[in-house]
Amino acid sequence: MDHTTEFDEFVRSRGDALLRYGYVLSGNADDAADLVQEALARLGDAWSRVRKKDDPEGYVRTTMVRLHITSWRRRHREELVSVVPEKGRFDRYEDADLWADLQRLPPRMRVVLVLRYYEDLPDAEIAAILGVSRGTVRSQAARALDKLRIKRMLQEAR
Amino acid sequence: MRSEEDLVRTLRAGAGHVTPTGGLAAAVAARRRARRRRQWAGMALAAASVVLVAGGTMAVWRGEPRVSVEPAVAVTTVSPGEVASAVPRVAEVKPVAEVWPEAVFTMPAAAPDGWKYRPVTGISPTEVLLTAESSFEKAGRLEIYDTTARTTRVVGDMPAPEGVKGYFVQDVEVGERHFAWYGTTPNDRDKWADFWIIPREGGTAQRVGEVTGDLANVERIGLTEDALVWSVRDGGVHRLPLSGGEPEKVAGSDGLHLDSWPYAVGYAPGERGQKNQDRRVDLVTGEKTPLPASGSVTKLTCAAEWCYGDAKGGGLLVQGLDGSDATLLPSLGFHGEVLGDRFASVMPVRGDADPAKEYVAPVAVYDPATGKIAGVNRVSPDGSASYGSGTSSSPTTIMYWGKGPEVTVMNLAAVTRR
Repeated sequence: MDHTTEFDEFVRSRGDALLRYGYVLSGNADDAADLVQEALARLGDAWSRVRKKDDPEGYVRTTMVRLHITSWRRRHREELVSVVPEKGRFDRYEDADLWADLQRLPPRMRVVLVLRYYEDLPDAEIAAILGVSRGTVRSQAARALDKLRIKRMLQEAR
Repeated sequence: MRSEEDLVRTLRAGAGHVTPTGGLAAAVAARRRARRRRQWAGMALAAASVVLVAGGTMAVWRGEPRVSVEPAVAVTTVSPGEVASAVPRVAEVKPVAEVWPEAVFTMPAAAPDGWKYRPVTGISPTEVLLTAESSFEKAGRLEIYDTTARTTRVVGDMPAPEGVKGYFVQDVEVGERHFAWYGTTPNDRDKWADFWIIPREGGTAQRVGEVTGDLANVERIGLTEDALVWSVRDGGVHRLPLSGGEPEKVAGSDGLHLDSWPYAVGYAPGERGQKNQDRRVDLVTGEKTPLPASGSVTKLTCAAEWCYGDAKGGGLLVQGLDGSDATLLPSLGFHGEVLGDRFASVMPVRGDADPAKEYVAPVAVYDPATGKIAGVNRVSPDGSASYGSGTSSSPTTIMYWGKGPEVTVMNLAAVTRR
């Protein structure tokens, strides 16, 4: 399989999961589409190198996180070619409530929670992705959980 | 009280609430084509791994830079209307500390109370305006660093307005008598912004007013004698008297975007991010200067005397406002950003240069007055490099880099035209 076909295949097979990841990271469909498209475009340009050395999925997820936390300040969003509508309801009212509270967190805090509780990454790995210390990850997570009124149980295990 | 299990469940359930409509592969391909149009082949790989950042945030990249060692910057003079397709050459870039030693200095990365400094812009060749941040991008104080005395002076606090959650100070502008800034709540969906001024000699910040709706899509701000002005993303410049009052639109500013007061620019139709500026208007006198692009370029962006663009086929196009003296520098790419009153932030073509063996700049600055090119920071042997740009509203004179207790700063306000 040549590189182009391989990359296209990756986009086809992983695109939906990455879009969902973008949605969890950013909390809205436009940003999710923007993140996934931009990160995949960058992956495509770097494909042969990434394919050899790294895990493409890890590369693209890390790129999405970094794009998200660094570009919120003043976003110059490119034209989105494909718009993704939001749909779906939470089964429980409390979950909808928590989702809404998550929307109000600063992007960095939200990202820490997504990496920890959605991606299930250890704090050390989160620290490496965000380029901060483990202590910062821990304190950001603790502050985020406090803001969301979530009782901390798992933290010590990390 | 909620539990961590609730959080896990909510995040997983939330993820399922977005529906792919298909067309992702096509969208990605379109984006890659657009990127390729912006960056020519020799640079694509390096640029692909750059995390480019708007505003002042440090841009960090982990790439595997491609490399080379070849001649210096090739300059081709072209006549208006025919920008030849250029063969990319490798740029020979020297570090800014060698090119403009007078413009480079180090300063503490944080204030004595631990607040981190973020440079805004040079207000003179020896003074740099800074914001001090209590946490990431949470600016709370304005200070000035004096490079001669190596001391900082506090101008005043940048308070968050009462009762506003998630408030972040955005860009700061330098006026004759005041510094001004605006703040927004970027993490909610409210369209809201407020404006502040503080006397340059120091004192207490005064809130000029707040706006909502489309008026709050602030793009850039400026200061006149008696008003704070700003342009909004969809175009149009508005003013708010410093003494308070209602916002009003600046006459003749329809569709215009503030550059640096009193100048505003308009854009020719085109692809987003690629549009050429096509007119520059003095909003005080009403004088309108057409900006004809010399040949086939995108992102034509003008400063007071010079314009820059990405030449079709690669290279940095430099021309006068009226399209005269067009020059093509094939070994540089335009970042789309003007620095200070005349400099361009450019991407040097690296070819196959090995950062472990020679100096490789992740970004450089071009001075049209002298033709000099100066590299900012350096790509480390592992291929990473980071740098930040000042966070002023008008084009900043600052780029900075380095980790640890000291940060290295380049202040283009110290660069002479000789």
